[in-house]
Amino acid sequence: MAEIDSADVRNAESTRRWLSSRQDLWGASANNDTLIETLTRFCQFAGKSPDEMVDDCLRPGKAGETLTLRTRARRQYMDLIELFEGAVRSRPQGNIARSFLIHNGIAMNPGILP
Amino acid sequence: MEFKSVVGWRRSIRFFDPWREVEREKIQTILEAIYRAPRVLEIDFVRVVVVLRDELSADEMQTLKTPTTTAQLDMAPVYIFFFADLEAIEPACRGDNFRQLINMGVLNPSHGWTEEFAVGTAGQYIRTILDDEDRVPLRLPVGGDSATQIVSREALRLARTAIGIAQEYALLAAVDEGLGAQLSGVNVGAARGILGFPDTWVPSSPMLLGYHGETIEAGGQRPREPFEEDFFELRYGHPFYREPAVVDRLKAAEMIQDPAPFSWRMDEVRGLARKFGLPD
Repeated sequence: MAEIDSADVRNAESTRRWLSSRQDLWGASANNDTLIETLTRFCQFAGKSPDEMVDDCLRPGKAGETLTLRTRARRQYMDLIELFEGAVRSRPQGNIARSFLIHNGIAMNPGILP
Repeated sequence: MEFKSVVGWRRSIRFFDPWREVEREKIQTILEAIYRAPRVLEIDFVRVVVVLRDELSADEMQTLKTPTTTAQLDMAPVYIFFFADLEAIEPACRGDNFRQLINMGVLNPSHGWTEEFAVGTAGQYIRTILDDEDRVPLRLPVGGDSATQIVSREALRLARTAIGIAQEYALLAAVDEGLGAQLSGVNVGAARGILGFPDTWVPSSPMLLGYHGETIEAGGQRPREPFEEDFFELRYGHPFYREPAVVDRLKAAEMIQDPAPFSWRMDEVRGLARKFGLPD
């Protein structure tokens, strides 16, 4: 698989959905470049493109019109983000990866308690 | 707190102060309120298990979570699990609870209650509910909880009604104790493994309990459909007249409060997310 770069990440449909949803909910974002940079780093860590990660977690329902959450894949990405967070030693960067999945319809959160 | 104020201040709280324990006496007060909730057909359906989050292992915590139960399960220090025991119906079929209430002057001949009526007619009525041929699974076979009894649909409905009443008493008692609370879904199969409750217990959503991590307004009272669309008099379609003076009185008593959204709510949520290290 070719190395994922920030242009690929920025142009992915799931990335645009994430940034648009964030913008709608929270208003103007300070700096999308930082978000893209961190997501790119996470994509490289996972070895997957943004769209591939979302597709891993959501599969089409029987009728094909709705998407169903794949709980095992979601769990795997939650664990992977924790590893990423540990590798970069940054909860905010881990939360950027979580935010990407959350705004694509995949609920998740980090542990809060020590 | 006054009752109207308790009703007005209740919200589903999703940000709890994770580090602040709930005093045992407050938990007991909530249980005492549940203990006094109305019973459906005088049946002692309700069972409750109190779980302290910090006594669960990390694995147990993880397995309890569903995709919609995320941060709040970590944040709330206490979970109160509600159940209804279908075995509680059997004594009612013998008329036990009815006879007890007849002897106490609660159920009286003025309303048709006698020993014979309690054991015969009333007890037999409950027996027909229990033995009804319209039967359904006691629990949905989800989350690894596949073994389930097939029970009377009407008995299950009564049991779930009893749980609903108990949950409401618990929620209001929690508010009255100055606590935040929310009914939240958990993985029932995992809960069964952790709590070890019997096969005859009907599970339901636990109440997450703790001190508020967000402001007690929690963004304002939640929206509802227009009053006139849900409340009627005389017949369906004829709205119950909503007297403005009563609305004003209830506003003064804090039952009716400023509705969501508050202008500062999103800033509050974002601030809370940062405080607790949550994504936005």
